[in-house]
Amino acid sequence: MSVLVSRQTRVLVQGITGKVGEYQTAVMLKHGTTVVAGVTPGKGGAVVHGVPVYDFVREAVEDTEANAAIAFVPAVSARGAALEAISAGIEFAVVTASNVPVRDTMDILNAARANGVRVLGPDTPGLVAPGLCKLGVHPERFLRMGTVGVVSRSGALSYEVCKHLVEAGLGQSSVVGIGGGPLWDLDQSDLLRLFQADPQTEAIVLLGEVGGTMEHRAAKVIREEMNKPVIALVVGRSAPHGRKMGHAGAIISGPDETAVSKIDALKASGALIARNPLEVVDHLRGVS
Amino acid sequence: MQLFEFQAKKILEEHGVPIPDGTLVSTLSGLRDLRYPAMVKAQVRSGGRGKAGGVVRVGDADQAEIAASGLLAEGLLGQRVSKLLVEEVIRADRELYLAVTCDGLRAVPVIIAGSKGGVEVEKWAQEAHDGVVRVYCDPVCGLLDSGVHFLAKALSLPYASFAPLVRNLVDVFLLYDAMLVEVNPLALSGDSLVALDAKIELDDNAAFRHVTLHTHLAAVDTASPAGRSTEVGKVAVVPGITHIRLDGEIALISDGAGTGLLTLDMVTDAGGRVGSFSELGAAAGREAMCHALGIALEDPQMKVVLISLIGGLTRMDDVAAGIVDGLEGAASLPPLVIRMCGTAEEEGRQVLCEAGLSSVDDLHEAVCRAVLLAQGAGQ
Repeated sequence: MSVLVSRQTRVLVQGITGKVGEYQTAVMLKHGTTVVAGVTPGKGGAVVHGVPVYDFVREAVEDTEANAAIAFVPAVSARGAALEAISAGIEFAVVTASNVPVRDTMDILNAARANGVRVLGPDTPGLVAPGLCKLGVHPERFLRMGTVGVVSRSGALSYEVCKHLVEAGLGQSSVVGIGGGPLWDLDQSDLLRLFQADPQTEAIVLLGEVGGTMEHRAAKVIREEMNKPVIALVVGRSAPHGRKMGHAGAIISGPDETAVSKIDALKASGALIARNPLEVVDHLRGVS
Repeated sequence: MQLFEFQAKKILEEHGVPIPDGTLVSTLSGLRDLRYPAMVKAQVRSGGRGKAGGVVRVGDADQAEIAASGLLAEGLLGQRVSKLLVEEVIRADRELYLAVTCDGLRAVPVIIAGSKGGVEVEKWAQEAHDGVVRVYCDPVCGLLDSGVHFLAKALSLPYASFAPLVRNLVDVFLLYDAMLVEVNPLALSGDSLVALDAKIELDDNAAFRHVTLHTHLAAVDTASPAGRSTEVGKVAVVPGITHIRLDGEIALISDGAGTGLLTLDMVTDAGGRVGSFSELGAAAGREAMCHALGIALEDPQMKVVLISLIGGLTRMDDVAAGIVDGLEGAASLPPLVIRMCGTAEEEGRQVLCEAGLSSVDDLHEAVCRAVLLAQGAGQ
């Protein structure tokens, strides 16, 4: 089992003829992912690594019954690509682009919610259920099928921790990047619940960071809804206080945005606190 | 990008928000022929301007000249002051707080209003949260009439003057791709409302939709040289790079916010001090890497450069080429520690090898090496 995707997931790649899209499609195929279609406007009829390319998502969905999409398009095109996928009946969309305007992200997330579509991103490496389905860009060397569920705001931080897991002989059930924010559809709390319900997942690694208040909500979920062990690593303990957006940022969230306040809340909720990836591995060995 | 007060007020005025009559001056001679008494307001981007003495009430042109010459000569809050906004004095019966920003959980614009405004609003709001009200826009219909009525009632404001004002603020927020539109204080004077101060923070990621505006703003901006911050704790953003100047001697460059913060924590835990933090972002390339390395090498305070890379979307051969570019022609090289792995890592190591460079695979090892080198350099 895995969360959000399965062997039955039929993947469509938006921007498949671009340099990144083409490269990552090859990696996803090699991982065993069922990539059924690619979309690049104006390149319909082409074939990339054996995958047929269409001009429009709706054509690709009609022909191939694709039900999940990952977009390798620049930030200026992210809104258009995501809205096209959502309107064409895709059930699950991954938006990898970073630096997507907030207004565009609001449109993507609201369209998704109105249509019952789940979204990861923007600014996400996507997700991978090692050995089953890869709808993302995680480096292959750091992936191995196993029982640890990993959820992260930062892509690179999840690679780092997955590297340590694999080097310690541990594997992952799913590795999910929810995106760098500041807006999210699926957040840490959603993923904690999914991992709690997933029979393959025996322990969860929660990777948080300074800024926002999402980890405080996650702490509440851990305390009230979970019995699987959660290991939390929150980075940014030694970061200087970031630039505040006027008074509104402080008024909305108060002092809860620091890494230390999040670590305190997660600790109080019963999560095991790690200060670095080595301690994540130590905790995992302790609970297994 | 945060706009100056005079720029924010110009935008608000164009969208029907009442502002005080004012004149922008950049020389003392510009202060003659104005109406007094007046408020002299230094145009700087920092918060806390009022507390720092950047807003002065003056009775006549002589007093204005004394206040203005001090601000223009000495600057404020570490920033140069090149422009002053001289405004009529508004008699306020009450001062309130009103802002529009984006709610991250609901993904819609949210209006935040407080029945008290002014320089202490942050402190006050944290002490007495019940004085702050929020109204969320509907994703399809925007700000609802009921929401406007609710805010007007909560703030005890006349609906007739409040309704158009709050609607106009939401319009500005969406039209300009703002991250924040804030009026603090908002003055109630009789039955009319006036924006005494205004702050607009634009979404830099949306600059492509506002090319003329952003080009114009960049031209006006003489506050700091492009691309880097020299003042401790300041954040500078150049395309693809976030750079923060800190108070240490290790320059840290990473290819993602999360891994950069992790490395920063690990360096600190190991007894090292990071003095320059550059983050390239997940889709970093050769040019961004070269630029970030240039910032680190130019800083005489930096004793060691630690490059912490783990690539997903970022290809290691691209950033490795950027490292080689950045070192080319550098006058003197501080010790360099490169930690590199992830997408296209073998190709990346090849690029480094051809330039006579090497990298390590383990982050702990890289951090320990950098901290030891920095301690050695300090002795």
